[in-house]
Order: sequence, then C-alpha cells, then structure tokens
Amino acid sequence: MLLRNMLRNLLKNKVQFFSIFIMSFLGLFVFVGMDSEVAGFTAAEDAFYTECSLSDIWVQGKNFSPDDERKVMDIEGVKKAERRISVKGKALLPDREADMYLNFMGSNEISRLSPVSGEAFVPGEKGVWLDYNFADKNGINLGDTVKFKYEGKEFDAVLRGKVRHPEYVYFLRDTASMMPDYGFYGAAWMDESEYPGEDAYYNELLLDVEGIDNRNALSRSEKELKDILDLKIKDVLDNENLAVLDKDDNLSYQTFRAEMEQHKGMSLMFPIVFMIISVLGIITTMTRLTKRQRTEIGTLKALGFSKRVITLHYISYGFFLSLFGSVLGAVAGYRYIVDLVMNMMRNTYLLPGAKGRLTFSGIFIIAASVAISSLVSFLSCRKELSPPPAETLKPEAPKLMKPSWFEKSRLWLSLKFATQWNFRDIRRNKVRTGMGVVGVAGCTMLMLTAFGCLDSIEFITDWMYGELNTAGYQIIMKEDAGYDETYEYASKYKGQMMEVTGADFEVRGVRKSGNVTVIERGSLMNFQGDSFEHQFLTGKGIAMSAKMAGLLGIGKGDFVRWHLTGDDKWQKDRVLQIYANPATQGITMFREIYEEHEYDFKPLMILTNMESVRDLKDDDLITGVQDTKEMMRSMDQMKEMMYMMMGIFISAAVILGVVVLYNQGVLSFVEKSREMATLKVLGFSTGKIRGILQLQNLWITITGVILGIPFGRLLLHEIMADMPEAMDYRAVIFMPSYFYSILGTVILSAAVSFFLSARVKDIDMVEALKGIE
Amino acid sequence: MSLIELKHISRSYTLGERSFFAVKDISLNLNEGEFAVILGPSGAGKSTLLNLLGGMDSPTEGELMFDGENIADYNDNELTDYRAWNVGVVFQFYNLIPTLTAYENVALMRDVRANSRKRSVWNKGDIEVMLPEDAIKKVGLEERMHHFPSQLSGGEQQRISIARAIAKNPRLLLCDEPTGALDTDTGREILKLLQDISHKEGKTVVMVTHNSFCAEIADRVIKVKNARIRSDERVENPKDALEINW
Repeated sequence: MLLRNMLRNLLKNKVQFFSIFIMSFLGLFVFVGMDSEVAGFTAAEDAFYTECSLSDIWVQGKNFSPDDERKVMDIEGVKKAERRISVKGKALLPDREADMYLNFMGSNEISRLSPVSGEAFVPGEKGVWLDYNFADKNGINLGDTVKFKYEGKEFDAVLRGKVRHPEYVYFLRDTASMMPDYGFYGAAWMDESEYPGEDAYYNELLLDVEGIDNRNALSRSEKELKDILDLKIKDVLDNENLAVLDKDDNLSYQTFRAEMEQHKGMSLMFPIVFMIISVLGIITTMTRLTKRQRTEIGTLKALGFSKRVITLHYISYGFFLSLFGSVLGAVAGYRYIVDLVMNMMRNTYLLPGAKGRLTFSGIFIIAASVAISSLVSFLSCRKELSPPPAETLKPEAPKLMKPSWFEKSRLWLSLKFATQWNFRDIRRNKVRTGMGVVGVAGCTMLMLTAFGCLDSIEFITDWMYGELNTAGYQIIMKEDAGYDETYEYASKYKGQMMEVTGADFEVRGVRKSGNVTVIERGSLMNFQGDSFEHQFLTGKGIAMSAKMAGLLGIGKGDFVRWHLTGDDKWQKDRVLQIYANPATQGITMFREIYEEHEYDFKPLMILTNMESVRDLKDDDLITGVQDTKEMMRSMDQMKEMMYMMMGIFISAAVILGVVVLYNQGVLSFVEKSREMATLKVLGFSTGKIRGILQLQNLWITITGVILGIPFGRLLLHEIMADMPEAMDYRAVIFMPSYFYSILGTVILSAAVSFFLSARVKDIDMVEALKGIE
Repeated sequence: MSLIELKHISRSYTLGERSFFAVKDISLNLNEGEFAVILGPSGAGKSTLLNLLGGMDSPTEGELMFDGENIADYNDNELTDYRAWNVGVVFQFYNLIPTLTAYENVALMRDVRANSRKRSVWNKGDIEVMLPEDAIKKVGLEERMHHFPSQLSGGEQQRISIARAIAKNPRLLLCDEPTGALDTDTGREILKLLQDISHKEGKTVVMVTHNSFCAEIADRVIKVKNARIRSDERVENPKDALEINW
C-alpha cells in the first residue's frame, strides 16, 4: 500500500520529481555515452597497436646501417629492430601534387601495415600501399599506377593495397597545420627497393622491446626502461645526439590520447553538474513533501508502522527516481551518444573496429547517483521522522524568524512591498532559492562554454594565420636546396626565410620534444606574448613558446638545454622571451643567434605575400607552394566538431535551465498560493502579484548569471588545456558571446517565469483560503 | 480483569526555560471490554493521556502496564511493535492517507502486521487482521470503499478511520474527539459504532472528548483537569448512543 501511496505522490508532484529524474537521466546519458565511447576507442586502440605491433621506441638522427641495426638488436631487452626511410615527397595526381609521407622499409614486423583492401604488404615485392583515405578520396583504385616524386626524381608504383598504419591514426600535413584533412595529403609504404635515390638514407630505427606493452599509456617502469635503453642505444651506436623517442613523443599516439583524456574529463563534468542540481531538487522536494505529510507520517507511526518502514518509504522516492533516471540515461547514452561522437571521431582518428563499450564506471556512477539520492532523501526527511507520533500528529509550529539588521534599518522601511516580500521569502527558503541560482548559473556556464568553444577556434585560426603568420603563401624548398638558391627565391618574391627543425629540450630531468624555429628578419612572421601583446623577437638570444615553457616548468630568465635532432652537441641558453604560438612548440631565434651556436642556417621555407608564387611549379628546388587559405580550410573540420559540442552544451543548458527554474517556480508557487490568495482578497491585482513573483525570478537570474560567467570561463579553459602538448589553444570568449549567453539565459528564465506567473490569475481565493484539515 | 494499569504516571514538557506537566501523578486501571470516556476541557491533559496509552508518547515518570508489561520503559521500536499489535486509533480529523482509497487505507493494516510479525513479543498467534472488506462492511461503507478520502463526507471518512482502527483486531481502541469535526446526527452514528465495538465485540475503547453529552454512553467517565484526574465514576446504565443529544 505504501508503494501505491508513493506512486500517487509521484504523480501528484510530477514536476518536482520529474526534474530529479531528468537530472539523473542527463548525467548518466552524457557520462555513459562518452565513457563508452572512450572505452570503445581505447580498446580499439589497444587492439590495433597490438595487432600491428606499434613500435616501442623510435631512434632518429643518423643514417642507420645494417650493422647499427644488429648492434641495437644485441642490447638486452630489445626483441627486434627494423630500419626505415621516412621522408616527405609528393604524389603526382592528374590535377595536383599532393604531399605524401613516403616510407621505405625492408621488413614489416614492427609498426606493421593493417590491410583495408587489396593484398598484404610483402617485403621484397614491388608496388605501393596507400593510406585508404588518400586512395579513396582521390579515386585511386587497386592496380592503378601511382606517380611519386621525391627529391626531384619521379617514379611510379602500382597500388597493391589500401592500408592503415598504427603511426598514422592521426597525422597532419606539416608542422604548420593544425587539423588533419585526410585525402588532401597522404602516406605511402613501399619496399626499400622502390627507393628512388641512389644512396638510401635510413633515418629511423624501430624497436620492439621486452617489457614495453602496446596497450595503455606508458607506465612508470616502462618509462624507466626506455630511459635505460636510451643510454644503451647511444652508447652502442656511439652517438650522444640521437633522438630516442617513445609513444608519448609520437604525434599520432599522443593526440589521440589527449583527445580521450579530454572526453573523459567532460564525461565526468556532466554527471557532477546534474548531480548537484538533482541533490538540490531532492532536498527541496523531499523536505517539502515530508513537511506537508507531517500528519500523515504521524498517522502511519500511530497505526504501528515502524520508523524503519516509514524511512524506507521516503528514501524510496529518491532511490527509484534516480535508479530509473540513471539506468534509462545510461541506456539512452549508450544507444545515441556513443554513435554520434564515434562517427565524428572516425573522421579524425583512423582507427579500425571501434565500437562503444560499457564499463564498470557506468555502473559505479549509477550506484553513486542512487546512493547519493537515497541519502539526500533520508537526510531531508529525517527531521519529520524522528519525533514521536504524538508530536508529529500536531501541526508544526511556525518557523521562528528574527528580523535581520537589514530589516531593522531605515533603508528597509523605504523599500517597496514587493522587495520586502521577496527578501523575506528568500530568507525563509534558502535551499529552494539556491537551487534556482545554481540552475541559472549552470545554464549560463554551459551557454558561455558553447559559444566560447567556437570563439576559441575562430580566434586561433585568425591568430595563427592572420596575426602571427601574415604570409599568404609558403614556398617549401627541397631538402637539398642550398642557401644561395633559397635566398634567390626569397629576394625574388620578397619573402622571409625560415627553418624549422626537430629538437629535444631538457630542464632538470624533464625532457620534451619540439621544434627549433629560425627566422630571417622580416615582417611576415610576428610574435605575441602570453597575453597576446605584440612583441619583437629578441635579437639577443632565444625565445621559448609559452606552452613549452609551461611543460618544462620554466619562465623567462631560466636556462634550457636543447639539441637538434641528429646533431651531436647540446646547447644551453637562457630563455630571454616567452611567446605564444598555437601550433608549434619549442624555441625561436633569429638567424644570427642560430649561427652564433655554430649552426648553418638552412631555410626550407619562405613566407611571402606575392600572388605570383601561385604560378611556381615544382622543380628541382621547390617541393611546392602552400596557400594559407588551404591551411585555414582544415580548421573547418574542427569547427564542425565544435558545432556538435555547442549543440550538446546548449541543449544541456536549456534543459537544465527550464527544468530547474520550472521546478523552483512550481515549488515556490505552491507554497505561496495561500499568501497570494490573501493578497488577492486584500485587493492586489493579478498583474501586481505576477510582478512580485517575476521580481524574485529576476534576482535569481541576475545572481545566477553573475556566478555562471566565471564558471563558464573556467570550464572553457579546462577544455582548451586538455589539448595535446603540441597545441597551445587559448580559451577566448568574444563580447557577443557573453551577450548571447546572458541573453539566452535571461530569455529562458523570463519565459519560464512568465509561464508560471500566468497561473496567478487561476488562483481560487476561496479554495486557497480554506482551512488545512 | 485489568488490561491497563497506570501507576503514578507523569508527563512533563520543557518549553524554553519553562517546564510544565501535561499529566501529573495519575494512577488508573482500565478493564478489558470497558468503554471509558476521558472528559475534560482543552489543555486538561486528556490527549496526552491518550497518547501515553497508545504508546505514541512515553511518560517521564511512573509505570504503564499493559497486559502485565511495563511499556513506560519501551524504546521506539518496542513502542511501534506495541502499537502495531494492540492499539487502534481514531483521530478527530480522520487522518486518512489522501493518496489511498478507502479500501487501501484499511488494507494498510496488513502491511503493518506483516512488517512486525516475526520479531513481535505481542504475536501470540491468535490475532488475525480482518479482511479490509469485512472491516469496511462493519462500518457500513462497502459501497464507497473504492473512493478516495476527498470523495467521502466527514462522517464517511470517520467510519473508514474506524474500519482501519478495528481491522487489525486491537485490544485497545483509542478515539481522540472522534465526533469533534462532525454534525450531531453523524456524530451519534459514529458513537453508536464505537459503543457496539466495545459492548458487542468486547474491545476496550477509550474515548477522549470535551463534550459531556458524549460521556453519557460510557461505562466509565474519567474527568481530567489541570493534568490530574478529578473524578473517576462508573456509569450504571449507559445510554444508547443514538439516544443522546447535544
């Protein structure tokens, strides 16, 4: 019978209880959706890396001979070693020349190719294996002959298979690119015998190591093992300056990992926000329900129901609502969110066989949500449940209210009735008001984050290609182009020469990989400080990107050790300046500083604004010309992802706002109906009474908006901070976004308030003023 | 035979710094099958006395024996158990659960018993809960048993309240101003029902009222004033409830 009683009470108070249900639902909807997506991708990632035996260690920096390969293989713990030539070339398509990562290898046991269609790669056999995106998007079919160009030499190969590669789950066109645009460029794998040059320069050594697993992130012991091997490899190859890298240094691996971490963080945020609202909802609803049912509780006790049974009865409200909400949310999240996010991610991350996967975390969060809701229900009802029935059968004595100092002040007397009435109502109902404020704040926070995501991407595009790099085009020179020849092109096209080289940085044992950028003086590459203030690049030493400085834990004036990949000496310099750059992390210096370090300036890039470079064709000296607009195009894909994120955030904001404000409004309306009826009897017009209600809503809205703005900024900052190490994305919110978020929240709040206050005219003065039997 | 024995019972309350007695040093015996009325003005202590008898409150001093057991020392759980097996309560404002129908309100008693059957010291194996429809039939409302309280008149609600109280076959039926919210005719009908329950079924009925006319139907009238018993008189020829007037 008590169950029936509960069901009828749920129906009677459906709005309040529905809000608790919907908050539990939404929390688990997003959490399970994203958690299953992360779990599915992580499992697929583990399976793919294991199946392809992703290299455990990459050694770069010299021309590796078969003897080097043997020496490294002899090191204890190294199971296998494989040489590879990895270079950048071109695929000659009928309409254009596409950038290609060309890989030539003698065997295929480490970082193996995974066939999508066609034949499997067999070492020693002729032909080419292309990344499937590039082949499909450019209409290249199995058996077609594909033309390539490397170092000026053209060669062709028959397409034998379309493949995936564990090091190419995510890859960019070049270091200046910020988002992938697969198909526009690509990757190819061939047997070493297809190498077009005369002397094959094996620039990479891939190692399979005992004790390093392909699954999960690198553990502490795996990292230590890598450090030991690092020393041993340098020792046996007698070269101190080799770059010994693990998967944390690998762009493909690391970007994907960072994305997963970001999703994990976001998936947790939603249940927390909704749980807070749900808890507030339960507190207000259950406290009021038990207060209203005080005599009923007393009666049940008098009839002989034990305290335990009555307590369980009231706990079951929170228990069942959060249980059904959470379970249904989890099912719906698994059903809809997983596919939505995964489909979008599949365009960016080329991972096979990823399917959503339920984890124990989902069950844990459901259990936590149910436990918290039940506990809150219990705590909310405890007050009415503890006294003996003789006491509970009597109506509760009115709350003792003492006037505050403000109510005793002169100012109070000068306030309007509506203000006084609302002030006292808020004082008496702090939790209910708090719930409204949190709901509005959450709504503003989510809206601001949504608009901020888009602002940040737009800002970064403009910042990178409009303020920092103001060149319309980049001429990319061949590896073997000499300085004089590059200088000739730079003079002809009024360009600024630039060299970008891979490097390692080290400060007190913390080591990070990045780039050394060397520029000629000019006006096309500009610099800004950490707060976007314009600055001139120091002419006295090196400047470091803010993100790299942060990763190394240093600031302006500190020293950093660095060395170029493949070079044999370490440099030590004081960081004289910190600059911000979204896409390339490391250090930057002028050519003369670089030369002072006894390096030759070997610029392979020329920045220019002259339109005539578009007519430049690839020749012996030039690899190609890149149009900045094309690079900006690749950001569109990121924008699409951001639009989806915005959709989720704004939907969540609207649901949150409407549910919480409506719930809060209904509660307050029900409780105040007697007072409002009295006001009506006394002669207050309906419009006046509505005004009083709307005034309180306005106060709650203003407070919520003020609180929501900093939280929105914080959330956006956290999302941007979770980007991979190579990216320095800044959380930026433009003024119109503040305006839209505030306006959106206010309109939402006003609409709910208007809708609710319209019920004032339906208040039946006679009914409302009848005795409470 | 004495069912209830009160020995020097007192109940005091503290309000702020002031403490006062709601009942003070009351001693009293109530016999099995007796229809007793506790009569007194507002604030005399009669409701407190009723609450103590029903195990809804505990005395601060004295012994309260029910069937040889001192329930004055009972803890919360023991009191709940005592109520579940021995006491039926009829309230002035009926106190029906508004979200349950008349039938469901009465059927609630099966849940009460089911919840305390195993551990109860009062479970002597011979007290069975009535079928809800039988209890409702006794109060003559079988036609209206699937209505919600809000669809019933005051008198009908009080009848259902009585049906609920007797459904668990209690040895003691406590009635707190059962006619207080009813008109005279309906009040008389309710009193007749209570009188029959006592006289025909042998239940001990204790009714609290401030209405001296209601006392005319009792076997015994206990007058209470200022927290003490002022008189305790046996009525030789109690009137039939339908004959009284006020």
